Amino acid sequence: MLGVRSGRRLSEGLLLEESEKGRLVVSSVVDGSLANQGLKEGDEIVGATINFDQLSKDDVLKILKLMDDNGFDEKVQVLTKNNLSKSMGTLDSIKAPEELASSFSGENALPSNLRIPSNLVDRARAKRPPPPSDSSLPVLRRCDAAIPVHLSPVQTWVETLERRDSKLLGLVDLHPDVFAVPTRIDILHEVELWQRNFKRISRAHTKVRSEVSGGGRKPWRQKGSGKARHGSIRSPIWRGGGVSHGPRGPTSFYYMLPMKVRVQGLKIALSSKLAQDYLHVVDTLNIPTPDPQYLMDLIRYRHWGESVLIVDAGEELPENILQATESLKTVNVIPAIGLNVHSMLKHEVLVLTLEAVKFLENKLLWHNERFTPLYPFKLPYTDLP
Amino acid sequence: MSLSFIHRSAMLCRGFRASLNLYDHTTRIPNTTIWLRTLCSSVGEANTRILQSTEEYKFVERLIPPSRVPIPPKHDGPSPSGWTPPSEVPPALPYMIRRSRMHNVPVYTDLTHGSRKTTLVRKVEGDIWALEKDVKEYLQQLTGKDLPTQVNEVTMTLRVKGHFDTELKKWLVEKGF
Repeated sequence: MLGVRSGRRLSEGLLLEESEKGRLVVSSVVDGSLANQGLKEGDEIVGATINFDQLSKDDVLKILKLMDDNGFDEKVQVLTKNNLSKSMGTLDSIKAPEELASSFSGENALPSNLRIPSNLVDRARAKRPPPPSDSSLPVLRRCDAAIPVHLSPVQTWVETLERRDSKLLGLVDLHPDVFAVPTRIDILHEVELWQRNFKRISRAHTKVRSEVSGGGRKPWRQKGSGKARHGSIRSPIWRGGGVSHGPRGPTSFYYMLPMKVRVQGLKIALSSKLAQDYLHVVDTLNIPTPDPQYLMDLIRYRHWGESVLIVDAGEELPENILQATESLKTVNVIPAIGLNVHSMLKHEVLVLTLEAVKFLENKLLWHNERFTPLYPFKLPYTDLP
Repeated sequence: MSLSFIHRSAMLCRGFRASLNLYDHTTRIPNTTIWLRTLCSSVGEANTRILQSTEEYKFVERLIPPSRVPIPPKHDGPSPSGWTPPSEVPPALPYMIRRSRMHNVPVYTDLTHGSRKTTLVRKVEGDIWALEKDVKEYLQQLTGKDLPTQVNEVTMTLRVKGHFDTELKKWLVEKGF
């Protein structure tokens, strides 16, 4: 076992040469450095075992990247602490935050004192095999609305819920003004707070000194009794008296954000779901059984995530999926008009049908080109979406 | 609906009364309740003979306004009012400035605190710092002064001190935005 322990370093004491057959051969050894390793001139180096214990994270990544770039797929075997042997086919599927720090550019490296929690990256999702790189899949839907000249549509795969194993049916074009808007977390925060507070009616109510029963009469005379002067037994300084500045009656926290801000919030939520790989498009919601276990198996098999929000366009949803999701807490089905930022943030994964995509694009893009309302949009216009 | 019915019935009522007064004094019915009851039954008979037609609906429907801003007709170059359409091919620059929903260049002036003049360029996409550099260069040539600018990367807007909306609009239109 080669180990850099004492004496001079391995790289200094060893001269390697490539033989005629293309193998690495030790051509010369500097005396005294590697005598205890047992390496002699003419020895062929077949393999090496590298202990990652003493190495820093950046070095480990450097080594793994080097091996990955040179395509050492079959020759690499990784052993973990528990002695489980896993063969890492490709390193592409790992989306660890450390990977963002490319070992070749020092500027993007993460700081060494950054502590990353172990549950930051879902390893189950990382194991999901990447979709086929060949684009032989047909485009099942193009965008209906006109796309601006300087933008191009974003694409994602169309899957099916009929079978558990993930077979891709095709591609779908998504409008960039709905699914690729710049992410404004402040707008998302505003819309989320609005959704929570505009329905809130706080019914906390306390009685003021005038409302508390009794306390009309002066308890004792002003002077001469030796007691403190008081005007009523229900003043706020008395026990059982009224509250001077307490909550007063049902309070409403109703306010409306501008329509365009709320619409932008929806667009940003959809774009971030797509960008984070949490959006899946499905052709229909027909599933073979009303068994909730089937859905859970499917979700776990495809490594989608913990909680799923399934969106269909119309009000009539297939019986099977309604029955299946009725008893499930983390999987929910809603019609597309019920889509809102809070539900999208609450559920990890968003699943849209093709009709839902069309409906949402139609409704959300109308706001980009509409007039300011002459009269409320609840009343008829010629071309409401 | 009910108001119009009462109105019509009141009119007919007056008509009936007038006719009865003229021709028959003796058989005038003194009790007003019986009067109204007979009136209602006679009006009920008349209602079945009313026809409904939907052809006149078009007079109302043509008054209902559209909700979307129409796409302007094709112009080569500026229109008589001075409006210029954006070029079909977007300019090969690292930034893009979209038109507003009324198809205008999104440059606006602002006056705060009574005397603080600023010009705002909205709807910027792409490299906003490159736009800031170009705007500063152009305004340097124009005024000879190095004007303070503020770039807001979150909202993707650029604010320049001073009122330069006409100049910046012309400049952006020349670029092809």
